[in-house]
Amino acid sequence: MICNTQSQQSDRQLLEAYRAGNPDAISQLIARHSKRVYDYIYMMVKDAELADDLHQETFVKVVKVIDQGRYTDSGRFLSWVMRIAHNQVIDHFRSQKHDNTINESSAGFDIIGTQRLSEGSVEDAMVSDQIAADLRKLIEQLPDEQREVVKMRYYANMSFKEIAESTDVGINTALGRMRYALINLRKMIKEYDLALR
Amino acid sequence: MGYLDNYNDENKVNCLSGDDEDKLLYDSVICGDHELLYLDTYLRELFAPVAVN
Repeated sequence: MICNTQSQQSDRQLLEAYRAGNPDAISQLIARHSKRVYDYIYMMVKDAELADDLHQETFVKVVKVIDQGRYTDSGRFLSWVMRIAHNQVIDHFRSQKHDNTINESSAGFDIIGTQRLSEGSVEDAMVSDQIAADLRKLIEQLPDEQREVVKMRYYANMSFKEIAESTDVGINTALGRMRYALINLRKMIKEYDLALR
Repeated sequence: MGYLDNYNDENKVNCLSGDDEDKLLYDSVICGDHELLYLDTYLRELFAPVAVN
């Protein structure tokens, strides 16, 4: 017997279930991504209490936009939520600016910038093809070992353990290559002024 | 609000917690760099295989 539990459903399926009248589906969706969103906020603000507040505000907004029918799913729900979270942090920094208590530049927004990111989702489908093509070109410019790890992780969705075994290296080596790959991609994104919006 | 009831102490504070894959990612790849976390999230979703229902 095949059992399609909520934990096995995709983000899109959970969204559809919520829109069809199942409130548990949105709880499941939020719980699925809550930690990563919180960690992202925390890494920027470095204050647990503040991160709590901004995290809460983020998901309140997420649910509000969904309830108002203004969210169109394009398969990148978490990226959309992260943009909202990013904007919550930016808005907070700006509200503090006159006090000079928080320097937003010290938080480091090199590739994402200090501007608010678009929270609209309709344009995602239109620009993501071009961004994907641009990023694939950048990935091809990585050193061989880093490119290999990136392709295994993002194109093939392999775990770090699987990547290490497939490339016949220790897991620490695989992790190190992944880290340098991301650092190099960030550098190239800045150099080419690519907009990850 | 009911839909935020699942948010609790287990979900926050310790950036180094999580399952094995997350722990490896956070400890050895992200290392507290929020931009790398954003980039990793972005790339994972951008290149994720499209689910066929």
